[in-house]
Amino acid sequence: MNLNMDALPSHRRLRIMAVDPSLASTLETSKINEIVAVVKWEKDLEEGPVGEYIEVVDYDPASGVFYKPIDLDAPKLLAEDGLRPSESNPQFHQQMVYTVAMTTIHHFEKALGRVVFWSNRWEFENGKINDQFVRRLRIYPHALRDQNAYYSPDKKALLFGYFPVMRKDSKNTPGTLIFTCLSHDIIAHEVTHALLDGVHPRFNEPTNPDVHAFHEAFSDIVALFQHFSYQSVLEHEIQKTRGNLETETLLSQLAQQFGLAIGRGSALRDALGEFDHESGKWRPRKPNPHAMDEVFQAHARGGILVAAIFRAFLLIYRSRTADLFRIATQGTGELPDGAIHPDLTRRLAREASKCADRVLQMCIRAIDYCPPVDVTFGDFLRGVITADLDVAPEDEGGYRLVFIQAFREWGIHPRGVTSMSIEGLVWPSGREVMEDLVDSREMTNKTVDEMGKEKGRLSDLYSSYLAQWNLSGDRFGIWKNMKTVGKEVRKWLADGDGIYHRDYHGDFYAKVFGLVVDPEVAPPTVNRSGSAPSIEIHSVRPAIRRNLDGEVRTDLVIEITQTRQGYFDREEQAVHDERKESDRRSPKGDFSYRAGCTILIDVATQEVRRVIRTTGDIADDEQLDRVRRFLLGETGASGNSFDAGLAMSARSRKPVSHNEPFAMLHQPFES
Amino acid sequence: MSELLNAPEDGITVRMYRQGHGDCFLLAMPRKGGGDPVHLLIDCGYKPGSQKTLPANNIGQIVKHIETATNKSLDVVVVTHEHQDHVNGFWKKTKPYFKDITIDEAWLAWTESPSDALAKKLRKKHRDQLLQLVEARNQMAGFAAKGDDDEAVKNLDEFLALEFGGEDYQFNLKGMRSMLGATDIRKSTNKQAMKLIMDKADQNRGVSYLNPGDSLMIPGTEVRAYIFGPPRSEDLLKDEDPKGDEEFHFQREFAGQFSFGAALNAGKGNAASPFRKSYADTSGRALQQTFFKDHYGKAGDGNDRRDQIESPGNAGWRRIDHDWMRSAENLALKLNTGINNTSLVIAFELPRSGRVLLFVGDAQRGNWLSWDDQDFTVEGEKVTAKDLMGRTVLYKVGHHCSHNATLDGDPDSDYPNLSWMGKGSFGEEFTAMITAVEKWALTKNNPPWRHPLPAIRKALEAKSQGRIFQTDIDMPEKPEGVSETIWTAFLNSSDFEKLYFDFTVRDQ
Repeated sequence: MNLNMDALPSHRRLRIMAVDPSLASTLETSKINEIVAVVKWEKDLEEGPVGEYIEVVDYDPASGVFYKPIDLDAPKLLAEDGLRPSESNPQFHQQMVYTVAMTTIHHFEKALGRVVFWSNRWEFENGKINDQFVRRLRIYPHALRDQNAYYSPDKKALLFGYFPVMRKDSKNTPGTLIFTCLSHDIIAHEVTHALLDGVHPRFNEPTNPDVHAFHEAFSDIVALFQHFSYQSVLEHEIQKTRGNLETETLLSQLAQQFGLAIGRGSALRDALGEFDHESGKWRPRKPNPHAMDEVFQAHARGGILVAAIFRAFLLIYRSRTADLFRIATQGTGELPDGAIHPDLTRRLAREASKCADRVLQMCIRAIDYCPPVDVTFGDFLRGVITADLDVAPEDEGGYRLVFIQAFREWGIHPRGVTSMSIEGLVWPSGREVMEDLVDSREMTNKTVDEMGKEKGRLSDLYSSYLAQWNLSGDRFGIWKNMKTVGKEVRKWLADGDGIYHRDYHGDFYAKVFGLVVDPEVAPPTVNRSGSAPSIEIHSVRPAIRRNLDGEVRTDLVIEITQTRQGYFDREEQAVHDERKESDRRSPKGDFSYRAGCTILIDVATQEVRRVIRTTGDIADDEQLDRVRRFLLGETGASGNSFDAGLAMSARSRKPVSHNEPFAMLHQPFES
Repeated sequence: MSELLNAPEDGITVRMYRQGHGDCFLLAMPRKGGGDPVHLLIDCGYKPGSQKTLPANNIGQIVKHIETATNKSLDVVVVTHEHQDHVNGFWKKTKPYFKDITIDEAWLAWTESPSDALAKKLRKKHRDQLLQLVEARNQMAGFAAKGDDDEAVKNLDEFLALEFGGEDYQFNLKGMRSMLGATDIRKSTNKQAMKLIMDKADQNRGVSYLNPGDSLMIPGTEVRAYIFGPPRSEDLLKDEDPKGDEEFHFQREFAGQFSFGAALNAGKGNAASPFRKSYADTSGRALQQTFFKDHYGKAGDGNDRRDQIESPGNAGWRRIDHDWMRSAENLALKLNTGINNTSLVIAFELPRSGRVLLFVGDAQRGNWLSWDDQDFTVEGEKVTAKDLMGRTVLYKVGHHCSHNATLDGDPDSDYPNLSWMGKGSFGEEFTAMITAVEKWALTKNNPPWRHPLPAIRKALEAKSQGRIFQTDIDMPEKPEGVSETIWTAFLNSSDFEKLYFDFTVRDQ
């Protein structure tokens, strides 16, 4: 068929289940179990479905069979919005995971202003690391027979489980099967793990109690707020709760369903609310500023972040619907008994949906504004504020202040910040950092001026490549381009390059970015290439965003890290940190200490707009010790009674050990 | 030359044997009316291999020492729970270690009772789950040619060793199946060990199955033993939050044809799929079709490791042939936790001073949470667990000082935790005993075992001012800031030997 580009549809309509049907009877939303989702039309979508981002491969190893792949381009399916939702047809399950995954991806692309990438495949060959491009996230809808679903960073795949249950008060009813792949929230949660891994692969390396918790919390947040984006579902829920989104019915049941199906118990639900023993009712949890000091298990700690964001959302929703309630109650504040007016329902639903969308976008955008490693909840807050400021300098609706308030109430304090005001929280610009360095005499004004000339070099670096970028071009091509730019940036930072100006200032920029490039300053334990400390350009990615004024801006987001060998034994560390005559490489350590920064460069003006550094640089012994203490289980342990405390010394670990960081997190037995 | 373990004039001498990564405690108390001391033994076991770096590296030697110390006669033997590292010092196939020792009385948890209904139900469940694990391990071994899956099998074997016992655990499918299927205990060393203790006790005063809330005197003494656990609640035993009203009963391991258990039992390729046959293709047929050839592949396909390329669609590292079996590891951990939580938890109270010695076995969170669920009534007076904990001056640290076996908290938390122990003047004498061989735990296991967990050990060091006995540490060092007087007093109550440590708690 010869199709004119303009004649291709822009969207595809596909039916999904709003709620896992086997849990539907516990939730009052069972009436509206079917929604029609709208996803971007993918040209040449193969059966599977296999598209540009996702490949659904329906292998069920426990049963020893493959299920036939669905062809979403079949005329019947195109005409009828896909298959009718059905638990017993595995092809509907394939349709479901594809649709929800694509919806989640779309939210990310919209927020980040670029195509998404999955994390790279690292192949080890003769001591070298080979980087491979992974085009598609694989989804296995029936991978396990277990009350579990997880993202595997090793396999770049989502594995969903299914398992039998028995209803507690039934008489010999045959067991029902719960398929985790039929839960919208679980699919969105798992895809988010994969998307976050694609932006920050090192967020898998826990170096403080927030890291793993952040992964879980962020995935919960995306799932929950995406859930709110379905208008029909929201209308129904608002109708039932008479516009009050804080009631038990909605939040508790949402979180409970999540927890039940995935075997996470009540961690999420407990974060959002609690049972009031006197009234016997569930009520939203009051913010507890001490929770961060008391709770370390990944899910429970993540629940604090979710609760804070949720609180921000509720505060915004309340303020945005105050006028609607005033109108509806004629100023009395009391709604008449019974069902609220359908017009009111629709307006409330629309507000809630808009608020949810805005909060979701704020949260997703923030991940470009996080340090490359060792993220904390406080860093994330700074990222939210800074990202939002960059996209909407005029803060109508006061979203940023509400976020700060909610985080403060939950005791989430960013490190090294003197005030919880917007000014205090925003990540500094390159210029601000340079001014600080001049103040502390680590640089002179003259240098700063000369560095201003350097800006031209930066644009030379990438403008030629940038011109080749075509964001509707092949992602593999873009990926290769980004790698090349990364190489150039590294060279410039580390040792200048004969092509550029004789008096290169790459090393001054390194100072601004918190990198240590001077071989005399970096301890011997810092990884080196040749005699100079290594710099890893972790990733280079474009971010095109349209700010709320409609202007198009392009940023380059560059993440840079350095690595140092860490030893559990402090004396051993001291020995290896000492400068020696010989240039011998330090032996492999027990753990890797990493530091670095994320920088955002405005392509048009070549300004280094934002510098987001880790708390210390690679030479910082205090920070290295902090990571050591965390890994030894001294700052809150989580895990089971055997491996808790993360004693996995890199030296005693086998080189390729089967490691699924997210699988065990989703088991009910951590405490 | 070893000798009889004498009792102090008043109080209790606790001897912590250094047999390995495991528990073995001998308590000596004065007998009412004079005569030989009353000897009470709590557990005798170790993880094979952990003894190699210790001064005494032979359990036989340790048991011989116990014989001499007690004149081959024990008034009471307490077995906290049925795990290898608590019982494998009792029995072996030829010439069981304890064969020449007389035992007057045995104290076990209610979970061992042959007549208790809940106990029977739990034992059956445990047997069934263990059987599933054995099947899983067998299947996994079949797949494990090399590499990762080998580790998975080894991990599973570690857990199975704890459950089956012995000193040179070997996986034996047929034997284990028959042991679990029938009631033939001959293949379980743990069960044999329990039987030895019970048979010997039955020749004298017999076996007591103890429930939380019970209190009883150590025969021949004025020392009262209060039983804190194990809890009579299935949920707490599993370390799970009490479910209350939840609608679902998750019995995923066995329920029906589409469970994990069913897939294991059916064997490779024979399990039923939950969907109609018309939707499915067997692996063999499917992998001949282009779609699955391109997007999944077989062994050897998609093997391209070059740099800067797009990963092939049928690369091996993306396949999931064996991942589903790893659910077995979770099952194993669950099982292990369940048995740990059946630990008998006893608080021994000295009559005059009220000092308490708390032995918790391997009790984990679920067990701890239940301690204050009941009070004790002694001669018309109410005694609470919190009160007893407040008077605790010796704490046998749970489960090798691991995570989850010593609960953290505040004095006013509403659940039992470390800070409830040793309050007021009792806190000034607080001492802890950790049964762990740290280096072995860290290096001989993969993933490594963090025993003791540094965070808990640190908390104990602070609370006890350095008064910690640990199996693999010949003698503790006086921490900075602790006065010589205090330390000397500690040293005077202690004795540090190659095969054991002694510590005496007086009763004035």
